[in-house]
Formats: sequence, structure tokens, C-alpha cells
Amino acid sequence: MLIPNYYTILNQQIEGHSALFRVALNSDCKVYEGHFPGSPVSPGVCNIQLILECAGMVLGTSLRLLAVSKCKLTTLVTPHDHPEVEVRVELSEKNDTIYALNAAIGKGEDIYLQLKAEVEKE
Amino acid sequence: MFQNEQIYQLIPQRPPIVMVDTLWSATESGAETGLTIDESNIFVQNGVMREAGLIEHIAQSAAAYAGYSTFSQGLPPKLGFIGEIKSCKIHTLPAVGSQLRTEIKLMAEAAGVTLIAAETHVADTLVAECQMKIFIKED
Repeated sequence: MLIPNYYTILNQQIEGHSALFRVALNSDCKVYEGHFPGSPVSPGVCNIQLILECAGMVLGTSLRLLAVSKCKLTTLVTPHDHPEVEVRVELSEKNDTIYALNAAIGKGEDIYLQLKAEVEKE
Repeated sequence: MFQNEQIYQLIPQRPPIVMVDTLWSATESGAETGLTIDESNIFVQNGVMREAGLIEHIAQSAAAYAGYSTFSQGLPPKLGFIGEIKSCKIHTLPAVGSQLRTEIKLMAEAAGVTLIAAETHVADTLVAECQMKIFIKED
């Protein structure tokens, strides 16, 4: 985990290159001391990192983010309003080491963040 | 020029997630910012800055640019949030000690939304490029 104590995985269902993770966002993570003082908001890039780490668990290796063709962050995520989120990950192989990554963070019908990216096995 | 803790006059982020340490210049059409990568940086792993850190550096560079104009009006920095990231490429992961230099170009601005394009270099090497939509929270 790049950002210590940012999240806790509560459970995971992995089927081939698709997966659903139920994740707790930890409000006592140190990052909230600065983002922002007295007004904790989950940094969008930390949620992208969370997706990368979940995708890495699907492929069994850490991943390098090569490109983001599009990432939409439609809801302001906070550890208080969104203590538990769902991370959906879908990977498709481009070649031996490079994968297209489609992912979302949300809960139930609600989507907070959508990501289309290209990743490489490290 | 704003450097080190002076940057706190321009951005709302505080340690451990301050990802820009210099505003070199700012004009109506854009800005130049910098960050020297410290080993203690929260986005450093195994001696290099990871992708999320580079994207956050670009976002906070845009924040410092927006903050410069509010500072000029005598106001504290407003909270800003990434709304969209597009056409982003991470070419290399720069090592601890590298000096990031980022050029921010203002592409459009309307009603609390700012669209910027950014390129981050270390010396002559292009490290990352990105387009970003940032929402500014009005008080």
C-alpha cells in the first residue's frame, strides 16, 4: 500500500480478470491531516492508487500506470460520508505485460469515480 | 516567486500532502511550478515518485496557479478538487532528488471550473503530461 492505512479491504471477489472489492476508507489515515485541515476529503489520486492496487491483486503483481485516457470524478468522496466503497476492476490483456484497465469506485448504483487507463505489470 | 512554506499562501493542502514547493511564474495564460522530490514524500516508494504523486503534483500546480490570483486579491486559497483527468501519460517515474518543473497552460475557465493542460519535466526529459478539469469550491 503506497499510502499507509489509506484503506482496508473487507472482502473481494475475483473472477478471471474482473473483480469487486469492498473497501473501508480509513478516516484516521494521516493524509487527511493535510487534505484538507479540518475538512477531510479523499484525494482523487489516492482513489486512483486504490484502484491500481486492487487491479494489481487481480493480476498478482504490482502495476505501473502508463496512461489515463479518461478519469471522471463525479462525487466528492470523504471517509465520513463514504466509509465503505466498492471498487470494480476489469482488465483486458493487450500483450504479455500491458493491460487496459476499466474501473469504478462507487456504492450500489452510485458511481463516484470512473477510470479508463493503461497499466503495465512491474 | 513563491517558495517552500510561502506556497501555503496559494494552496489549501498541508503536510503530509504538499506536492508543489515553488511557483516560478504566473501570467494570465499559465504558470510554471516546481517540486524537489524528497525521500520523505508520501508518494515515494523504492526511491521513485509514483504515478499518483505526479498527478497530484499537477493538480496542486493548478491549485497554486488559481491561488495566485486569489492571493493577489488578498484572499486565502480556495479548496479545489480534480473533476476530470484526460490524455494523461506517465513517461517515467522520477527519482528522489529530482526537480520537477511543470508548465500549466490555462485552456478554459468558467463558473468555478478550470481546464488546464500540463507538462512536467525533469531537466529536458518529459516525465508526465495531462489535461485536468478542476472544480473550485466557492465559499
